Amino acid sequence: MNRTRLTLAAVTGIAAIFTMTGMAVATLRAPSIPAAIPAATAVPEPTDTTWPLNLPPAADPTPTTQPPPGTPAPYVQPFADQPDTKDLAPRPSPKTPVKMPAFADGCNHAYGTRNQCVPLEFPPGTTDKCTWLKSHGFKKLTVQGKDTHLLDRNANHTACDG
Amino acid sequence: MTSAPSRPLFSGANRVRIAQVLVLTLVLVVLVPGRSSAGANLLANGGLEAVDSTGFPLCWEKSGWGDSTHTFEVSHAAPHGGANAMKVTVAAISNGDRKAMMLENPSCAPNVTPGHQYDASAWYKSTTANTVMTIFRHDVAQGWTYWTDLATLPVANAWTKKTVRTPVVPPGTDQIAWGITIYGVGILETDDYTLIDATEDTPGTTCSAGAACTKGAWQVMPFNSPVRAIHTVVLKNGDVLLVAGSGNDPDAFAQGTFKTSVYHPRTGTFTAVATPADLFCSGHVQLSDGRVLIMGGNKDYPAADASHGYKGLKDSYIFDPATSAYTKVNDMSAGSWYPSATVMGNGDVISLGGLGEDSSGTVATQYFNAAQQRWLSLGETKQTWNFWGLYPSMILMQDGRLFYSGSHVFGNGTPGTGASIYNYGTEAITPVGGLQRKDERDQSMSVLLPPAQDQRVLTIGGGNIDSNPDANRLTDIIDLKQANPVYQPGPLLPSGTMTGGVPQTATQGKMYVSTVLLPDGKVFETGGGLHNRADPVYEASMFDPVTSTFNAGMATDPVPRTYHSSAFLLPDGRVMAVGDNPGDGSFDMRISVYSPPYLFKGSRPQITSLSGTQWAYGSTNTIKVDEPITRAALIRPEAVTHSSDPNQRFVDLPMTVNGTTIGLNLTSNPNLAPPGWYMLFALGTNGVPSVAEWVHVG
Repeated sequence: MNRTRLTLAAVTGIAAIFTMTGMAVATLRAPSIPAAIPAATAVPEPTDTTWPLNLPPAADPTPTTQPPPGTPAPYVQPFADQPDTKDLAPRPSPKTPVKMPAFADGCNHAYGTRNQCVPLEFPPGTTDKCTWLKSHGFKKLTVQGKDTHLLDRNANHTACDG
Repeated sequence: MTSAPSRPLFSGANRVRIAQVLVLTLVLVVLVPGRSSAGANLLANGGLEAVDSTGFPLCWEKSGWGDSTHTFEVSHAAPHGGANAMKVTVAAISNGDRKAMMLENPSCAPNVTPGHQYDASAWYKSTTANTVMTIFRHDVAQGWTYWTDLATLPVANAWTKKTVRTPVVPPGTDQIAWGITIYGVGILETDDYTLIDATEDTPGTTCSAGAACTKGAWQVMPFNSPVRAIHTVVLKNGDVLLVAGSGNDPDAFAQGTFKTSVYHPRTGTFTAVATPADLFCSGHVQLSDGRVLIMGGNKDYPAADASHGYKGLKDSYIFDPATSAYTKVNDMSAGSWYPSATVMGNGDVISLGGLGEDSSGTVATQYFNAAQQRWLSLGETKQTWNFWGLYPSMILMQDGRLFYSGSHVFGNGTPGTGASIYNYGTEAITPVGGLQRKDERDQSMSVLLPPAQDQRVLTIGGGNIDSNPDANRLTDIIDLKQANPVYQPGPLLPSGTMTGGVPQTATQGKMYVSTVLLPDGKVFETGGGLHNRADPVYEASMFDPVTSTFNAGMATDPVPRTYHSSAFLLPDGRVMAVGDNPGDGSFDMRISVYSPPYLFKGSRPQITSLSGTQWAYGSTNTIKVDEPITRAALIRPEAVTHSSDPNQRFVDLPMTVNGTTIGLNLTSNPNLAPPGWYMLFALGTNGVPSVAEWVHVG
């Protein structure tokens, strides 16, 4: 990142400050009117409106005016210019959603109630999963989905009871 | 005409006078309380009278950076004293600054003593308010380095004196240098600089509280929280907002039973608040007026057959402490389950990451315009389409960019280096290296170290809920003042004990960490667990940003504090902790309160008056105190969940001291102190903080 880019960052920050405090005048962008979101086309799924999108760039709030006398402008230091670092390549507007695992919280919700958390992976050193579960307060643990941990040995939909 | 004969320097008469001065000085130093060595101007050529062959003052240099049209001139027209003053004229400027600086060399820069404070003073005239006193220090290991900005100087047509007390000189510092910067179009004249040791005597502290004197003490409240306090926000009136929503209880979700409560620490009572949606898993941040913006929440829990995961709401509300009620604002543009929330220097809010309405990752940058009190549409918002993960810790930098610290919640195989700098204005993301084990920083905690002006971030611990290793002891520190900031390994987190008092192994640390900024400038670190929603770790320590070391062995919360736990600073200087939600689905409703060691060290300074509670950027605000203080600071009240509060910050207030009347100089840069309500603390010479007064910045 070069000095120009850093300056842009600072100016953008300052611009936003002016916008909020009303310090800047005519050259700041006018209050925005919500822009219509282009209709999504050929969307296979789902209901999330985050994607796919092909939007025009948002307005640049960079101001060109000075604040009135007597009010100090924000003093911004030229830190973290990152002259040796390249920006990450810009991403295109997404065409598909970012898939996340259903059990994003690391819990295997095939077991127990949905607020319980049988871990997807048991901690290192665990030799007996049922012993571990018992010692961590799990009682009458139901098996409602796929028994990937092989805890339902008698197939009665209750873990660790047989 | 005959000239008067000159007297030999060490004539008998002079020897007597010198001896008298020395004796008098010695008596004053020994007997006058409150100063260790006050009086002498430590600056070489502070009056700018001695000049070199070019006519420029000895021990001074022309300094600055950036693009400007400017001149330096030694002015002889009506200086404040003597024959010379320094005149810097900036005719045009696009960026950068100019200043006359003391030469950073062993001969010219004044020597200082670590642990001391100094009154830096100069006379000035200025046609612009775009000025600032900037100070540098010479570190015996690092060389000359930026220290801090002390104060903005108001426009002054006549010679005006500005005096600001430095922070306590850090260890390893042997010299300082400073100057007055002009960074706008105008004329700045300066003269008669002084630097005087203003160190206050440190009174002997007596403490009869036993272990609490060094470790502090916890107290478990005799009442429980009425709600599962998964989201906590300290309000501008000193109360605490406790938000559960469904509280990670699918039965409550199915019944549409969503809960919020306001805790009143002064009375130990609670007020139930009608909760319009499942705000469990939302993001939250205080707006500039002290109301709380809540974004997103829980649209659904995951299905047992894994056909879908958690789903995020698009709903958004504002909680008003004055009415204890939520008001709906327009929907966000995307669902947000575990979104970040960072208030910007203009009071707007940027939210990143989380899960959408369909359980997929939310890639939209979502922007709340404070002036318009609404979420902007996607088309109005600059987009990078980057997926930032869940509760990414996005910390506002002094230039308005966001530092993604790498601290996050859940997720595995995070891309790149795990940390980056994001510029909303240019849509640029630049990687930042050095974060150790980036995929084991799940529910670590990052914090902008005190003071915010120092632009350093500490990231502590973490684990990985997918692979579920032992949580680690790693810490990483980054100095965002560097041109190419890179994380550096910090000291290992102190080890604690597991249930039953079993000591941790040498490699075991913790996730679910809470870090709390304290009014003495230290960081209290508490709570945590070793594995995914299991195995609480009993350990607490005090991190000192000055020495970058942990003081291990602080008192530990007797209540386990793992998943869905939080700790935060109360306005009285204590720390409150809530929540614990282990894997068996239970939830610990107990409340703990920690009294740090400073509360056992003697009387608390009192802020007896404030010149006002509305503080403008770059202003000097007067308080009166009942005893000498060494420091004053603003602490932004916490809004924390899941070990994530990127808005927590401690803003130093360099002091202009006149006895017990103290001018507190607020930065001109809103990115250092985003607009809002802050807790103002004064720190006594015994290291004991006052109770906070509330002031509004911006």
